[in-house]
Amino acid sequence: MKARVLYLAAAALVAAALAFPLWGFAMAAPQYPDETLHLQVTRTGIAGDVHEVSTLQHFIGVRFPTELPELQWATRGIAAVAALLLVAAFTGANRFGRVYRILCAVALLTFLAASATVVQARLYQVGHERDPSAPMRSLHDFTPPLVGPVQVGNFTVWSFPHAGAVMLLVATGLAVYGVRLKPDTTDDAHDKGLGMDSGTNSGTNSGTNSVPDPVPNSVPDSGSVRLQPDRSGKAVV
Amino acid sequence: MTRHPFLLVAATIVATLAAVHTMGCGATRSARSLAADKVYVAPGELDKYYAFLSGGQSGSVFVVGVPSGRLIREIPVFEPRAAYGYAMNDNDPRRQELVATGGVWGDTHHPILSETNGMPDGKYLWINDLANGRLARIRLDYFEADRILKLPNMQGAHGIAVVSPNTKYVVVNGEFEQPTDGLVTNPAPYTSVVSFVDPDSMQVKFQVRVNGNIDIADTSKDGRYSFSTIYNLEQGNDMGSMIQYDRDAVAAIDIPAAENAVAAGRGEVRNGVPILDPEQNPGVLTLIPVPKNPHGINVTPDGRYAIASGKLSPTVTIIDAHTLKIVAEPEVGLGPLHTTFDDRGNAFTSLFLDSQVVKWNIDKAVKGASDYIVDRINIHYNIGHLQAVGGDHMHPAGDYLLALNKLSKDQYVPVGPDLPENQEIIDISGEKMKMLASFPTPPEPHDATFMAVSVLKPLVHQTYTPAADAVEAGKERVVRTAPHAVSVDMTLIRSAYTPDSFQVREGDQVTLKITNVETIRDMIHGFALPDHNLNIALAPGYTKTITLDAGKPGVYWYYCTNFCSALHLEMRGRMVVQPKDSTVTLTDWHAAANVQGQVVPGVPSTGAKQ
Repeated sequence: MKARVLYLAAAALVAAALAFPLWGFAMAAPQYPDETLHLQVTRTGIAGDVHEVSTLQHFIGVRFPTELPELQWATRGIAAVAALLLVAAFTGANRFGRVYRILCAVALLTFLAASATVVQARLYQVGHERDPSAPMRSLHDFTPPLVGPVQVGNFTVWSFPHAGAVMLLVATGLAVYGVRLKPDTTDDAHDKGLGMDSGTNSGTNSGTNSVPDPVPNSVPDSGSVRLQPDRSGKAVV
Repeated sequence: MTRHPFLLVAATIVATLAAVHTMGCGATRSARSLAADKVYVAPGELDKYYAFLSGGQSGSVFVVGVPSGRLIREIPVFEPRAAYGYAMNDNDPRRQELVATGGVWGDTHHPILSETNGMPDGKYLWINDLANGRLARIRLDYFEADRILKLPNMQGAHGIAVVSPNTKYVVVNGEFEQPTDGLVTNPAPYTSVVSFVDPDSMQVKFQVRVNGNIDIADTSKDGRYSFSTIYNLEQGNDMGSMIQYDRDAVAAIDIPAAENAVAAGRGEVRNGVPILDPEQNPGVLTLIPVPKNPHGINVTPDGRYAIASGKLSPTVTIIDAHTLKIVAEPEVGLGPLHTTFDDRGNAFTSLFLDSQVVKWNIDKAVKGASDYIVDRINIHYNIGHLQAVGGDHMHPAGDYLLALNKLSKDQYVPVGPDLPENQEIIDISGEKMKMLASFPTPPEPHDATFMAVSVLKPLVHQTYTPAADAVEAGKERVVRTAPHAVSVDMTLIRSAYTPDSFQVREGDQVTLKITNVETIRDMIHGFALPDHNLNIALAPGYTKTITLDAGKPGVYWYYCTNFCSALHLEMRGRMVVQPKDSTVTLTDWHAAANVQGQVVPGVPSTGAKQ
């Protein structure tokens, strides 16, 4: 059960991440003593102290991104990743299942890397492609890092992953870990017609779960009479 | 050798003097730093109390931090203030109230706070205008006057008090007597009334007629009585005849009895307000004889006694606030005017002539003990009111006392013949009073009251929630609404007016509705229009509508008077007034000037082709 729970949890985390802000920015300046400005990048756009930040940005010629088309494909990407993970929860112990899970982890890592690259490119753009007719003249170009502070005029701007991104990172960690984990037998899934791996019951390559299945439905909780993988994934005999 | 003893003696004397001098300085320095420590509020730290001081003939309320004595805000009430854009335009509701009720100045004396369970609740502050018989209410969530009431059937609104413990009424004393029929033809002696005002509706519910000049007010802590000092029971019209009697009175009005009489229709209704005549309504008014021409009346925090200060008599009269019997009349000093209290059974009375505050023990004075005087401290000079923190409420703090003095004389650097007023902060936490600090103000605080910062600060708004009719960004417009009227909906935000220019014609009436669309606190913008007698200030979220005559043809630059941003100086725009016979239309001019915001042609102007 453990691998399946792990993948289900990872899929749930990724899906839930869509409901939370993905990236956050905190802006502190001397004249905002106990009112640090915050922006959150969400699935639908930028939220938070948008009014104040867009009032300030014209002084330094920053073009406040009102349209972020990448958020649309990011949303689709996240949904796709959630689907991949959901499927992974029901893959078997055979070669196909293992490859699938590896690809799943690679897909997640790739998605994160691509997202980070796109976001960083945007951040570069914000700090460099500024309105040359902006009132403030002396400000140098700047590039907010993906995570960390940058000084922009009188503001210290912090970028950091918000709840949604943290959830994606955790899910990625789970997916990477899941590759190493021995997958469950998919008897339950098989019984319910959801089995991904027709070879599960042969036990040919599961290694740890060589004991034949008990008679289905002989006890209310079939798991309690089966051998349970311990935390290390080894069978307890 | 014979000269050496002399030198030795001389050297010893010099050394001793030096040592004594140093010690003396050391002691002085230590006392100074101890006092400084008690009032020092470091930059960035907040005071412990809001003190609300009446502004006297400034017509306003001063908000001062205690213990620092820093003037934090002036709340204009009865007088327009260009700096705050208060009551600066005919369209301003407060200005309209002021003009309709007696003029654009006032003389504020007594700030009082709304109470819940005998303690200030931070909802309202009321302030009187002695000169024009008015009462104003200030909302403490925004620190702004929200209602100005002319009190009918009386002249000179002097003492005011809320009916404890839950602000059932605001009591307002009419000081200057009037003919009983309200007409100048009545030769009978003049009288006055005590008004009972509903705190929420600001309507006068009833009045009680009292002979003589009704002075200072307080109420019992249980809601039963209002107390007012009365002078001139003689009902004389000149000073000589006002001080004939040996005793004047404290008027105790039984509020439930008065309410019953009003409910029974026993009031004579004049100007919409029932007036109760005490002679026809026995039990409503009790006159308690006190030495002549008394001044202050203050109820002890526990509600047991009402203490009348003698003014011309060196005594205070201690009245049982339940039985209305005099229980003691101890001497306290010359010119006792007002009394306040700590949390340990002590009273503090201001002595105008002695220029002192005297601290005395209430229980000892009531029991007739000879040692009821605890301490005296010199004041600079001629103290009027005094107020200890919470002394006017049920739970005094017993830490600081504010002396509000009439003269400052030598206390500040000379600034010409018109000297500032002087306030002094006194530490009353120990047995002996300690002078801590003083601070000057413009003329002229009379009285003060306090609220703990911990209670009021969370209730204070620092931006406005935009009103339903606020102008939204992007919906600015210029409309000719009538042949000689143009209406402009404008927004302002760092650092621009939208529209940044508009065209009108000589003879037009211009209506400007302006919204500050900032959402961050302290981002206030002004709108000053040269040669049109106009400056207004708008705090974030606030909308004001102003009307003005377009004036002579010309270009008038409106600009921001409240420093806002790095582009503050550039924050300006134009009102272009075309000559009467100009043929330039609103639409054409705005198109040519590339004005942001919508231009609605509306009604054609009569002065030109449209």
